[in-house]
Amino acid sequence: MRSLYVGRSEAVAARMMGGEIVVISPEDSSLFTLNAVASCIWNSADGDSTLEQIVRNQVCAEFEVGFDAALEDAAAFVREGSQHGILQVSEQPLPRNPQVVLPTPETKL
Amino acid sequence: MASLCSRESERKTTNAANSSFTVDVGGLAICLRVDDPQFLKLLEQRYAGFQSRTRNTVAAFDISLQRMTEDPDEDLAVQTTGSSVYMRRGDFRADWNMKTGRGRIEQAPSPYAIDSVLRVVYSLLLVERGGFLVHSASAITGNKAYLFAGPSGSGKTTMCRLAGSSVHLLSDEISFVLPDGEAYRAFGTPFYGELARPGEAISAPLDATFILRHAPLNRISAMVRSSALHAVMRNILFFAKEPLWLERVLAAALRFIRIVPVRQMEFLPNPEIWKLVA
Repeated sequence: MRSLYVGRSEAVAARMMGGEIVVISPEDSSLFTLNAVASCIWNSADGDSTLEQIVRNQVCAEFEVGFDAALEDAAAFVREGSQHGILQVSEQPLPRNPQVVLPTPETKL
Repeated sequence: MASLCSRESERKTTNAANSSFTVDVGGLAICLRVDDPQFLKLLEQRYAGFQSRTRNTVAAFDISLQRMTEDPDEDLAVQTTGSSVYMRRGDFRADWNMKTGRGRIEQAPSPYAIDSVLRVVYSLLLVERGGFLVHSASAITGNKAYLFAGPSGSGKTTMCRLAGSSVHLLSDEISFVLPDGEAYRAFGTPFYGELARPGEAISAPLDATFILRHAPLNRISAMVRSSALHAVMRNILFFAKEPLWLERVLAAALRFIRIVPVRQMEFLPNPEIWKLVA
């Protein structure tokens, strides 16, 4: 998993809610609320970066967490996300997903 | 999108005026045209409280009654491509162009088929407008509306049966929610569950949503926002799987939970629970 490329699925809808991202899966309409670390991985899953790169360059840089522990948690998240169709993993770089996570209208309707 | 029904009627025979029925839920009128007098009568009976004479309709369907041979219990399938919507179940097939408002329904002569088509159509019309159909009972008391959401068996119909005479029921099964400026409004619907009778065709500002759960006591408690979002999303009726629609539903739900309080309602099946509502 660590050397696999990770990308967001184009079929999902995602929005910011407070500091978290909520993602809805098209496959079973499941709703996922991503915590801060998972949101960081989600935002970095551009299809061009491996999970290892994401954890080293984004997660460990942003959160006080060791690389090995972070990678283990990240791999579990990516595994679950790919099972539900919200993330894609590949041995090759994936097409870049231009999807932008829209903020929830917290201050303006 | 005005006069979808009347324009078409003008091309018909002198009986045209008697071959259509317009159902209006929440100010969104849908014209149903059918040549079969018996089925027309069935529509008039089933949607009696929601009949409208408006010519300002948002959709118009030509209904063709057929013997459907497929399994009536087949799962509902809805597909959207651009402005085209295609829906199918064992007892009906329908297509609808959301841009023109025109559509066709081939269905068995059963009220369940047209009811399902209307639910799908209203779910899409509402999401386009920032609202939604939600799997919940709803009622008005003290000039304010309340939703009671939950899956089958959670107590929606029970809440309706426990309501006192001053409570106006909007539905025991499918509620209709639309934004109303900076707030939301709940409307009565003709869609019902075990109560076997439609809601009243009235509306009121929505004051709160309760997520139902059977418990050994009556209690209302706050929900954190993520739990509220999950609970609301679980109960919103939406059938389209395309990202555009998912995005609209998610945006509607997020705005909704920011404006309307969502609370957990644990309840015993006794009328005392209504004292905690308003």
